[in-house]
Formats: sequence, structure tokens, C-alpha cells
Amino acid sequence: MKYLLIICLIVFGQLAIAAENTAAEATDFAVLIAQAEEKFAESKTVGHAWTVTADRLGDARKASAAGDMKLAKANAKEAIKLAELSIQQAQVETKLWQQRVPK
Amino acid sequence: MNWKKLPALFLALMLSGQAQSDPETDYLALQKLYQQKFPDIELAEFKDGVYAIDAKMREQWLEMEDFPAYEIAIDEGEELYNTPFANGKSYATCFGDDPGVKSGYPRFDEDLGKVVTLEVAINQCRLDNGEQALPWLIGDLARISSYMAFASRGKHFDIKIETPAARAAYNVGKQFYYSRRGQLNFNCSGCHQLNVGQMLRAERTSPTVGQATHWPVYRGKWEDVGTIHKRFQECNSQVRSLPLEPQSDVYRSLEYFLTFMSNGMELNGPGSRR
Amino acid sequence: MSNFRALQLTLLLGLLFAGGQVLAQAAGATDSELAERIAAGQKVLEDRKKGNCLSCHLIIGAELPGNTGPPLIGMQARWPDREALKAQISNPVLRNPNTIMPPYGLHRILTDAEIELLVDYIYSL
Ligand code: HEC
Repeated sequence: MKYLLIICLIVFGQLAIAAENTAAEATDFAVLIAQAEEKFAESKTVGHAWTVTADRLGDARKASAAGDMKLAKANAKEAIKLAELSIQQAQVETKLWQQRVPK
Repeated sequence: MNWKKLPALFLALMLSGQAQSDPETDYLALQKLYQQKFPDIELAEFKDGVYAIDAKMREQWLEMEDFPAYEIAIDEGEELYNTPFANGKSYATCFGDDPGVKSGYPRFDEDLGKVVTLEVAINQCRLDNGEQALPWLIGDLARISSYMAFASRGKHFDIKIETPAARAAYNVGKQFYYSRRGQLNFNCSGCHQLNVGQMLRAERTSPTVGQATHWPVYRGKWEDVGTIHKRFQECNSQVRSLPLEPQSDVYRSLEYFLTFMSNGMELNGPGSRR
Repeated sequence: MSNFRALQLTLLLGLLFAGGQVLAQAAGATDSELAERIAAGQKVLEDRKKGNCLSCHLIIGAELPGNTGPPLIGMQARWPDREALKAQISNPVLRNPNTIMPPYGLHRILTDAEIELLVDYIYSL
């Protein structure tokens, strides 16, 4: 009886942790995808958005809908990185483009 | 620092600043570039794009031109053009008796503060007469535009950039053409100027000069005639740059810049391309 | 980010370990592993969604190559420094500000591992 109780406790504990993990993953993802959307919108505003950023955002949402939070987060993170690179490209190009105009 | 040189330096800076924003200077510099790259080809021939450069491709293209795929589009466009609106008026009410007005488009509208392309003008005519706007890329709008381009054949582009606002719009298009974009980091000029005429797999790139003369274009890939903004989108997405909305302010400015780089050239639209 | 670094480190250590193992084994095993890497690198190079290198570079025997970039021939002799070659693939703008070659590493078009495979293949040309 005592053992049964302990086992029950352990099992419940594990379940609780698992539930908490999924909840944490979901909020993590919510934060990441919001950040990715924001960066993507910014890259559009500066006129240098990339198709691949949109693709990774789509992949992230798809994975999240399928319950694969790990993949969802990885794609959201990739989208953030790509959006940041495209914004960087916009900044660099405002200075460099004139050098390419034939003289 | 030699202070005596300062006024000269200042003058040089001003001149260079001016040179960068002067469409006429850009136009001449670009013509010089292609004359150097293709000393045997007359600039006027670039109205045929890549087919002015590649004899073999030209041969195949001329064969296609014997029974041009855009002919149906011209006929359908003519019929659409001449069908009166529900209010009894017609496109002629907006454009006058001669539908061959393409040589003056795009033009900068001072009141709107915007570039107006021929397609925008066609849809504006519809809206002003209580009709719905047509989709921008392929379909009926491109057909009407094809008919008007056909009626404009033999005329020469007469694009005007006369006011500071018009020059600003031109500069937006120019900046777009020379800026790297997309994950692949390409600028339009990288393919169409610096490496013009080079092979990309089975394709060869055309010069900037002449790129605007022959639109709309029929492409087998599209199975229809399409407007130049459809080509813009394709040239954007192939370098993984998110295409802009057709007839967005930036694409209109791009067309304004690009057409000015074909200024004075003969109109030969609609065209056909691979 | 730190997770990624840790992963990279583990992978690196793993690779080093594996590399040592391979070296310790007969030379034949190294050859077959290299052959596998070369084959994988060729896939990366030809795949239009990955390297798509043939769109601009000629490789002897390849179909429909472009001619915008230099032919990929005698690469080991022309690029004896593997790191320099990797840098050229990763961010070619550094060597030539006007290049139209995409920055495969900088813009995350290929992963570091894919670039390594690519170099293995290119060195075999
Ligand atoms: C990766 C190289 C590449 C880049 C970058 C590129 N293009 Fe192109 N473009 C092509 C190829 C290939 C064609 C098809 C062959 C041709 O007609 O030039 C083409 C065709 C065109 C045409 C049609 C030419 C004709 O005669 O009908 C236009 C217009 C055009 N591009 C505009 C642009 C603009 C604007 C940009 C920048 C947004 C751009 N291109 C960027 C490769 C490129």
C-alpha cells in the first residue's frame, strides 16, 4: 500500500511536470512566433522581406498546429534570424546601392 | 587640408549629387555601358531584349512570331476596349479616339502625387464609369493593355520627368533596381547590367535598355499575356525576395525608372518571350 | 542560441572523435567515407533549392550549366586554403563587392555542415 502510494505520487508528479512543460513550451512558442511576426513585418516596412522568412513562419504555425512544439520553435527562431538578416540587408543597401549606378 | 581647394570640392560634391539624381545622365551612362558591352549591336535593337543578343534564340523566337500567341489577346482586347460601359461611355471617353497612347505611360500625376501606369489608367477609367477594377497581372486587363500596346506600335516612348516629385518617384524605382534583395542577395542590375547576356542555366539575361518596350508579354509559362508587374514579381521571387503588390507605389516607380531607360525607343508590344 | 552552441560543440567533439576513429582505422575506411561525403556534396551543389551552383558555374560533364561565374575546375590547386574557400562560399561579397554569388553561409542558405560537404565535393573536381 505504501509502495502504491509512492508510485502514484511519482506518476502524478511526472504528469504534472509534463503538463507544465507543454504549457511552458506553448508560451515559449507564443512569444517566439510573435517576435518572428514583428520582425517579418519590420522587414516588409523597410522593403526587403524575404520569401523564406514567410516560409519558415508558415512551417512554424503548421508544426504548432500538429503539436510538434520543438519543430515549431525551431522554425520560429529561424524566421527571426532570417528577418533580422533581411533588415540588415536593407540598412546596408541604403548606403551601397548608389555605387552600382553606371557612371 | 588645402583650404583653397574647398570651393572646388564643394562644387564637385554638388555636381556628383546632381548627377546621381538626374535621369538624363543615368540614361546616357547606361547606353554607354551597353555600347561598350555589345559594340556590334545598335541600341534600338534591344527592343527585342535577349533576342537582340543571342542569334539562336532569335531564330526560334522569329519562328514563334510568325503565328504570335498574343494575337488572340489583341483581338479580345480590342473587343473589350470597344464594348461600351453600362453608363454608355467607353474607354475612348477616357483615352480619346486613338487607343495608341502607351508611348506616354507611365506618367507622373502631380495632383495624385503618384506614377500612373497604363494599367492603372485603364482601371481608373473603369472605376470612373461605375465599373469594377480588373485584376492586375493577367487576363482581361492585360488583353486591353495588349490591344492598346498594339495600337501604339511604331511610336516612340516619350516619358517625362519634369518636377521634383516626379524625380523623387523615379529615384525610388532606381534605388530598387540597384539594391540587393532577397536571401540570394541579388540586385536587378547584377543580372541585367553587370552580367548582362550571361547564361543562367538555359536563360540569358537581357539589357535594361529595351526591357519596357514590348509589354504586355505572352509567355507559355503563364499561358496568357501578362503585365510587366508579373515579370517584376518573378524576378523578385527567384532571388527569394518577397514580391510586392502589383501596381504598388514602389513597382509603379520601378516601371517609371525602367521605361525612362527605354525612352525614345520604338514600342513593339505586345511581345512574346520564353 | 546557447542551446545551439552547445549542440554545435557536441557535434564538433563527436566529429573529432569520429575523425580520430576513422584515422585510426584502415585507410580504406577513410576513402569510402570521403566518397560518401563527396556524393552528398554533389547533391548539395546540384539541388536547385540548395546550392544550385550549376546555374552559374560550369562543371565538366554537368548538364545545362551557366557561365556567369568561373568554371569549377582544379579547385584544390586554385584554393589550397580550405578556410578561404569556405569563406568565399559563405560570404563572397568580402572578396568582391560586386559579385552576384549568393552569401550561402551568411544568409543561411546552406548550413555549415552542408558547406563542408560542398567543399569536399568541389575539392574532388
Ligand atoms: C538572377 C538574375 C536576375 C535578377 C536578379 C533579375 N532578373 Fe530580370 N530576368 C532574368 C532572366 C533570366 C530573365 C529572362 C530573360 C530575359 O529576357 O532577360 C529576366 C527578364 C526580365 C524582364 C523581361 C525582359 C524582356 O525582354 O521581356 C524584365 C522586365 C526584368 N527581368 C526585370 C527585372 C527587374 C526589375 C529585376 C529586379 C527586381 C530583375 N529583373 C532581376 C534574371 C534576373
